Amino acid sequence: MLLTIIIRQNKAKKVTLLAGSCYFYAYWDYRFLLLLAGLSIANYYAGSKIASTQARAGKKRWLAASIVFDLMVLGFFKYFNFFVGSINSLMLSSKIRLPSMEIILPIGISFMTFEVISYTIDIYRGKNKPAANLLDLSLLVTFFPHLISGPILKPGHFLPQLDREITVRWKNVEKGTQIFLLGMVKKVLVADRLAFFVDPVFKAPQDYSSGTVWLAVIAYAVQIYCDFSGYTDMAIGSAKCLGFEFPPNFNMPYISKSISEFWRRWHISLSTWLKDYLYIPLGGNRKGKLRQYMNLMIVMLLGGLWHGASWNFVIWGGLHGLGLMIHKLYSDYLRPRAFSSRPYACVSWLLTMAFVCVAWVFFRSTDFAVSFIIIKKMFLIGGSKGITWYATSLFVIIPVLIISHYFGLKLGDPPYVRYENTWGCFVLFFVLFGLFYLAPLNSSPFIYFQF
Amino acid sequence: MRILKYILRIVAVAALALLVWEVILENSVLREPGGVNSPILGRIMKPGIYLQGTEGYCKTWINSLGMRGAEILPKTAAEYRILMLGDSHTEALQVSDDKTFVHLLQTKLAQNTGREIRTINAGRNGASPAYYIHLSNFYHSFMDPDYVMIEINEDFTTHILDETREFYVKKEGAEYVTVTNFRDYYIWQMFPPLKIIKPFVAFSTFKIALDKIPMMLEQHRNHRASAGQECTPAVDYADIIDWTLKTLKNDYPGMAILYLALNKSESNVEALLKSSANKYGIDLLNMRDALSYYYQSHCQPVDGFYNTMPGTGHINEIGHTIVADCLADYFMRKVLR
Repeated sequence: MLLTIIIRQNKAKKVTLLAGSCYFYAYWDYRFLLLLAGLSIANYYAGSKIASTQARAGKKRWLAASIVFDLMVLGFFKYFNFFVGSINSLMLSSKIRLPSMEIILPIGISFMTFEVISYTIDIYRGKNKPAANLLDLSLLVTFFPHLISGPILKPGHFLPQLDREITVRWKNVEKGTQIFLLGMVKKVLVADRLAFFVDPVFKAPQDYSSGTVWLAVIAYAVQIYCDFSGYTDMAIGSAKCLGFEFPPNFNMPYISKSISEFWRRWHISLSTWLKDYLYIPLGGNRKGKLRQYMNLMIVMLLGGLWHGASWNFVIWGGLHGLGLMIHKLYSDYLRPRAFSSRPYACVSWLLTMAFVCVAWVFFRSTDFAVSFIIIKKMFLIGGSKGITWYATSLFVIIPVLIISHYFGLKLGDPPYVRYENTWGCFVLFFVLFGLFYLAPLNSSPFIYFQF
Repeated sequence: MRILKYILRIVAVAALALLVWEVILENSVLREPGGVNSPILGRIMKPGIYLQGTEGYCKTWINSLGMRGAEILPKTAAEYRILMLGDSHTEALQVSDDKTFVHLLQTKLAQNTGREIRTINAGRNGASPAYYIHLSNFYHSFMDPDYVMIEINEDFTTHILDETREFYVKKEGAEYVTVTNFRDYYIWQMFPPLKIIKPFVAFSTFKIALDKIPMMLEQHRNHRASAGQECTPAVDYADIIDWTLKTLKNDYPGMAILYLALNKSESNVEALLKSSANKYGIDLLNMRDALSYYYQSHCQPVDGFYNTMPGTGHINEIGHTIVADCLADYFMRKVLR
C-alpha cells in the first residue's frame, strides 16, 4: 500500500490497491479471489447493460438477473446447508434426507453481495452512473479495509472517490492512524478482555447464577459493540490513511431511548441499506400502518438472517422487528404528546437497553437450548443458583467505556493530536506500548468476520 | 543534523512513554517481581519484596529463599515441623498468607493438639518432583522437617520430564537422574544479541516484553503449525511414576503425597500413581472427592478467582480450606496420634 505514495499515475495506484486488497483476501484463502472476480465482472456487465438499455423492461430484466445472481452466490455459500438442514429436520418422519455439502463460507460475502446489489439497483434507479471501468468496481468490492466486515459502502459514496486523484497526505495519515488505534484499543483492550468473561458463561450458562448471567449478557453487549465498532474504526482509519472517506457505522448506539433510535445508531450502513433497498421497495410507510408494521418485521427478519444461517439470528431479527413494531405503534397511538421529562427518558433508555440485551442472547448463543437456559436464568425461572462470578474486567472496562462515551458525546469528533508535536508523538507511543502490554495473549477473531 | 535531531526527539519521547508505562506497570497487577539466581535453588523470586499475584488480589512477602512467607528460623526443641513441598498450588500467591492450606493446617493442628507445630511453605511455581528429589539434601539440612507432605497434581508427569524447567528428570541408560537447567530468559536463548538489554530487566516494561514476545512468537508458530499437526503419541508414564515415588520415599522417609486432582474423572496417571504409592507404602491423599463434593453441594468452584475464570487455574480460598481440613484430619489420624 505504501507504493501508492511513490506511484504517480492514478490508474497504477488503483491497480496497486486492487492487488494489495486481493493479496489481503488471498492470505485467508486464495481460491475465493475467483468469487470476488466473478461478482465484480457479473455486476459490472449487468450495470453497464442496465445503463445502456433504453427500455424500462429491459433494464428491469438485467437488474433482476444481477440480483438473482448475487443472491444465488450468497444463498449457496451461506444458506445452502442451513436450508437443507431445516428441511431435513422438518421431514424427520420421512426417510428422505437431502444431502448437505461441505461449503466454506467466504469471509465478508454478506457485505460484498449487498454492495454489488446496491450498485446495480442504484444504476437502475438512476441514482448512480455505472463504474467507469471494471477496475473501479473491483476496488469497490475488494478494497481491503472494508472487505471482510464492512461498513457496507454505497457505490454512490465510494466510486466518485476513485475518480479523484488518490493522494496519501500526512494529515490524513495522522488522523487515520489515530482512528485505527482507537479501534484497536476497543477491540484488543475492551472486547478481547470481555471475551474472557462472556465466553465461559455463554458456554455453560446453567453453571452460573442469575446475577452473573445478567452481567455476562451486558458484557456481551459491550463486547460486540467494541469488537464491531473497533473493526469499523480500523477500516475507516486505514482508508483515511490512503485518502478515502468511509461513512460512520456507529453513533453511540447504547444511548438510544428506543429501538428505532438504536437502529439509527447501530450498524448504520446495514440499517440504511435495508431501508433503501428493502423497506422502501416493500412499500415503507406509504401503504398504511398495518403494512408498515409488516414491512418492519420482514426487513428485520431478513436482516437477522443476513447475519448468519441460523434460526437464532432469525429470532434475533424477529425480536428487533417486534420491538420496532411496538415502538411504532406506541409512537403512533399511545405516546403522550410532548412527554419528554428526564425520568421518562431514563425509563425509555432502560427499557431499550434491557430489550437489546435480551435480544443479544439469541445472537450470541450457539443454539436455542442455550438461549432459553440464559433467558430462564435471567428472569429467575427455575432458580437463580449457580456460580457467582463478578469478573473484575467488567468493573474496570464498563465504567471506562461509559466515561469515554460521555466525553465522546460532549466532544463530538474525537480530538486528534499532531505527531509533529512532542505531546502528539508521546500519545502515539503511549497507546502503542499500552496495546502491547495490556493486550491479552489469546485474542479472539472479530465477531463480524463470520457474517 | 536536522534528521538526527528529529530521530533523537522520537527516541526521547518513546523513552518517556515507556517510563510512564513503567510507573503504571510497577504499581498495577502486572507487576513482575523478577528473580535472582541461587547457586543451589536455581532462579528464585527476588527476596525481600511484596509480590502481587496475577490471580486473586493478594500480596505476599518473599523471603530470602524466594519462598512466600517469613524467614525460616532454626527449629526449636519442642517444635514439630512439617515441610510442604509443591508447585504454585502450594505456593498459593493467589490467596493471603492466613488463607493458604499450609497456614490453615498449622493453625488447625496447633489448636487440636496443643503442640508447637510449624508448617513451612516451600511451594514453588513450576516445581515438580524433580525439584524435591534434586534438592532433598538442601531441604533436610536447611529445614530439618519431621514430616514432609508433597503436593502434586495431574500435570506432574509432563513437568517432571520438561527439559525447559530448572530441574527435570531424564533417562541415562536404564536409570533416571535429575538434571539442572538454570536458565535465563528464553528470548536470550533465541536471540543472543538481545542480551545487550540485560541491565534493563529490572524494569517491568522490559520483563513483561521479554516474557510476552516469545509467547507471542510461540503462539504464532503453533497457530500456523496446528493445521497439519498430528496428535503426539501417548507416553507410558508407568516407569517414571514408579521411579519418582520410590526415590521420594527414599529421600523423605516420613512423607505423604497430597494429590490435587481438579479434573472430574480419574486419569491413567492417577491410577498409576495409586498403584505405585501402594507399592512403596506411601499415603496418597486424593482431593478429588472432597473438592468435587463441595462444588456439587454449594455451586461454588474451588478454583478460580473473580479476575480469572471460575473452575480454572489455582485453587481459591474455598479450595485451600477444604485441603487444609483433609490434611488436618490426616495428620490427626495418622501422623500425630
